Amino acid sequence: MPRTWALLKDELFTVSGLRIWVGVAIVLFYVFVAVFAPVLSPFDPEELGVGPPLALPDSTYRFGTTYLGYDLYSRTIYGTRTALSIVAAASLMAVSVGVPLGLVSGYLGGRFDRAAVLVMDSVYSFPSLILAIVIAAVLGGGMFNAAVAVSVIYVPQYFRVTRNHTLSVREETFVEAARALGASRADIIRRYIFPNVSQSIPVILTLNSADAILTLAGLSFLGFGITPPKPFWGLDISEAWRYLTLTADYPQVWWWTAVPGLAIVILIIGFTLLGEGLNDVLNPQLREGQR
Amino acid sequence: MRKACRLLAVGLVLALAGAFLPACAGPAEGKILVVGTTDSVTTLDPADAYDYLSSNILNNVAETLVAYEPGTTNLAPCLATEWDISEDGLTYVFKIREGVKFHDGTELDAEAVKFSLDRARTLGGDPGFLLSDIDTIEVTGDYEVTIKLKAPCSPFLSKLAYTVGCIVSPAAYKADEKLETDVVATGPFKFVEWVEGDHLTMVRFDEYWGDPALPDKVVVKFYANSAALKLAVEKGEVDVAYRTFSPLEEEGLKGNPDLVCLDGPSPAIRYLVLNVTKPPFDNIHVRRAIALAIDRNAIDEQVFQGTVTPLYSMVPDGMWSHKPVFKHEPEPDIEGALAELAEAGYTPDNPLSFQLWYTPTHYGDTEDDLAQVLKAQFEATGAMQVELMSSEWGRYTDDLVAGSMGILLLGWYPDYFDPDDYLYPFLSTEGAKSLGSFYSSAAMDALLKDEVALSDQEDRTPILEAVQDLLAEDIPYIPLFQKPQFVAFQKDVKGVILDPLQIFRYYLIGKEGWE
Amino acid sequence: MAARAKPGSLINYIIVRLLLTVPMLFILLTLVFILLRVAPGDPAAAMLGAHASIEVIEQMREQMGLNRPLYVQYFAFLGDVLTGDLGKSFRFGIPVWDLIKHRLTATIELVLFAFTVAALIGLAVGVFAASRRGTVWDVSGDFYGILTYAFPIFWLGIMCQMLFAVELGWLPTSGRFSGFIDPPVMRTGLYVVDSLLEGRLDKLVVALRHLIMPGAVLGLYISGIFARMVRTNMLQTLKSDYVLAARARGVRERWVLLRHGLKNALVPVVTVLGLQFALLLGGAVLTETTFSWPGVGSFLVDRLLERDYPAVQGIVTVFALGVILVSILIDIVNALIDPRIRY
Repeated sequence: MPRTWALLKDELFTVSGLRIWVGVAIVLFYVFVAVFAPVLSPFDPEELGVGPPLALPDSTYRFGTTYLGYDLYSRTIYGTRTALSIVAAASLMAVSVGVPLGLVSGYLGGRFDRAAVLVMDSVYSFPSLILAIVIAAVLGGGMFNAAVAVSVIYVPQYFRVTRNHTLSVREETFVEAARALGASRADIIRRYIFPNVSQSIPVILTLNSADAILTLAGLSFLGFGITPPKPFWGLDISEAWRYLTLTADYPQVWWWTAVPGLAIVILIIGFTLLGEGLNDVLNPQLREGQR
Repeated sequence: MRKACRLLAVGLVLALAGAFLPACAGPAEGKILVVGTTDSVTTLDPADAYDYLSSNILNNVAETLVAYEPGTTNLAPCLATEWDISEDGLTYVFKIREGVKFHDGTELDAEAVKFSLDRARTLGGDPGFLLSDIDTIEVTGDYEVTIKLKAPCSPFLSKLAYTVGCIVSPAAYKADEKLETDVVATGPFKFVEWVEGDHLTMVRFDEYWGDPALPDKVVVKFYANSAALKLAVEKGEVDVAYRTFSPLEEEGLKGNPDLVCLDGPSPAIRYLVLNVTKPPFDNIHVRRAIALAIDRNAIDEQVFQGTVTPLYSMVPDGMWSHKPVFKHEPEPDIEGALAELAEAGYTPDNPLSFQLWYTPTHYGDTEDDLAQVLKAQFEATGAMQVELMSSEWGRYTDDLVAGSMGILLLGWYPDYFDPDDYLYPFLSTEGAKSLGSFYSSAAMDALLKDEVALSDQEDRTPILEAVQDLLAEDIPYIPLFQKPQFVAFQKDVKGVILDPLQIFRYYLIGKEGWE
Repeated sequence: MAARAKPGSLINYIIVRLLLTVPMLFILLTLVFILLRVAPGDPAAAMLGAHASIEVIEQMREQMGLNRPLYVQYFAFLGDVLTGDLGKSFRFGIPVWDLIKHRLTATIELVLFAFTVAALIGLAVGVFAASRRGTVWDVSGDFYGILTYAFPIFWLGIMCQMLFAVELGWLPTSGRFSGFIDPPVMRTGLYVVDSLLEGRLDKLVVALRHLIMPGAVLGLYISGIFARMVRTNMLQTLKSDYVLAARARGVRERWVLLRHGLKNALVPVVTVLGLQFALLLGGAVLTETTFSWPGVGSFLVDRLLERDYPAVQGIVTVFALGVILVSILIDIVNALIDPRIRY
């Protein structure tokens, strides 16, 4: 990672650098809110009737209350926890499957590689949201299952990038030298290839996180994955959607819809800016839309 | 190239501008009734139709031997002109109406009746079990059919009135094959087409034996959600909107001066199922505690804006023999619940922990809310911890039959209008296996067998009440509420009747200006 | 798939390309099969509902072939797909293909419209941003891409419904057609085309009014990617030698942009098309659900929610075939344009 830092330091004050700054700020803000949620939110987000139902925003209920009297402000704050924890879990799972596979596949080559590439390409070429909802439907509800569904669709990306990098690194002279000296394959992969390949992971990680939030929101909106009364923005939006035609009499509906949506948008912008900024800095040759 | 670009731009702008103008509909051709609904049709075969809308379509294009008079629960002759029931209740002789034509031109006769009923009970469709009381069906004359039962069954005529008893044209159906996408029967309407997910069309059958249907054509439009249906009826895109709006939407529609809204009692009930074989629900104290912790009035207020009626028995309020066996004061009885929990070994320090299951869309949008309110009510005792679990209808019914859910929300809509239909399927050893409680009581089975054999309401009532008493003692189910039915329609529509059985008869609906 | 520099025939390329998709299709179908078989839940019980007895459910399982060993079911599935039999929906008892037919054309219409919108807006934004290199417009053009990506489609859709349909009453909230008139006579299945063929402008207006919101929302979503792609390619092209040469010859600025920049910028965009098709399909699922558009996407969600295995299998198969077909077409188009791509 020293190479990463060196590259970063040069770029931190350019336009690309600005993107990284803004992205980091946004993401860190969300992390902060997630960590300090119990302190920041005035009410229990899952407590029904904590306020009068259908209340308009006021000093006690900053964003108003929902049909059953949940406090929207608290739910939005706790939504960060749900979102970030699922994304973290999903990323962890995807990385721990995709990266090792990519390393092994890239290094070994041959039939294993060809088979792995074929499988990964097939999964990758398939619309990711559709795959995610089928998996989520099959596994059933719950946060863990949602995380698994989301992680599966990102494995191919980690695989691809790792494998491509591995392919180029494995021809380097120092790797040949290690081979000549009789180092085992596992050793070579671990000590020589992985460190050189790992710098592309943060980029994918951040960009995938952005996509994961989007996928997750879509999943919960459609009714797969997270179930009430767990606070999550996609779920809140789909609940608000039921009151679509009632905005004239109940302008609260605008709040119920807009607030969770903005929460999603800003977080995604944060991750995307961060990811793209990092991308420009670290991998100028990979500049081709990693989504 | 630039000129082409300009022309294209101008063209686009015009098209878009035109698109924003309110749709200029051409004049409707003929007397057309458009009905909007959020339900969907799954099949048109009477031997298979077991969900609300499929059955209701059949109620308009097909007929049974006996049928309910519109707006009532009285059975009247339909395709059968008279019938005779033997003393022992085992033999029914029906005289079939003459001069009735099927939609394909063939004549109705006793053979057709035998064919249809035999087909329905042997084809293995969902509602086939309703005809399982039948032992044999014989044609005893060109227009006479004799049905022998295995055991006396007083609601038998009522069961025949369900769409499983619809008589279809033998020329158009095969005895061993389902016909999902067409109907050839005797009803006042003739089926035309069904585009799944979009609409279903029927036209008046001019050779109908009875009073002709008022509309020339009926189009049933399917809407994916109630918001779309609400807007459609508000904008006049449908004449009638029936099933299913959420409480606030009903409120909004009622406040609309351009529309007429009606509500009326519905025979459908909602309840909790408790699997009495699965701990901790195998403990009667736990079941009692749960029953005591429920506050139906709060459910009514919070979830349904005061539009539902609390229900205290599985037999709906308004039906004869209904006895409010679950009523208790106070409601909720937190102290009583805690006492029962203590008997079972649960206290605030050692709370009872369980999963409450529900299915999020099958019963409408409000199910999420209902589950959350129940959870809050259980947890208000301080000695219960509830986790909400949901799965979609497909998986839900599977888990139901497999017995993997301990306590769940369910609903019931009667197949035939008799207290027996609200008790036997739930409380008999046979029935309880399919409805998730796995309840089995010899005493209950005996009572049920007795009441169904008697034919007189007065004789049956005391036994039915005893059944309900036993139900409240053993608590395999907890009735919650009845939700009224609601319909909204345009001011010029006449003849909309809210039927106690929720049969929606399109043929009785007309519009001002139709002669 | 490495492109060798050796010239070969176009036909060769097409054949090899087609052959290469077979294993991919095979893998996707296997994935689908595994997923749905592994799923907990019994479709027989699901179909029969809460009233059925155990024996009836067993009967249904027999009928559905669920009791056959897994590998037998697998090969039966593959065999069926190859003969064009997508199975019968459990809930409807009707062949999946019959159920999807209308829905396919509905989705195609939506996707085509969205794509047109995306192309137009994307091109406009991309070209504009590229031509104003280094200014606020340039950066906004870039940011436009991020913004359209970050807005969840369903959220944008709902907000549009609330504004344009409920508040302003300009457009219908959902559905594909409405009113007291019948839909256009079915010829292509695309309502816009069919109403023109029928010569009924009133039907055309109704169809368009329903198509605008979902189409625009989906189109906006994709347009961002287009815009960025176009901008990037145009920037590269504008720096290239022959554009400099054209400028040197005194060709007018706007012409330079349009004729030279755009033409070359379009080539890689075609490739992007192929890649984004998968994205478009995913977006279509959300759009169709939000706007109750009766397409294959919303149908998939419905069927999944009901655990209707064969229908889901059938639809996913159709998606897989669609994705593969489009990618083949794109590759062929690319090969046509660029003679260096051959096998």
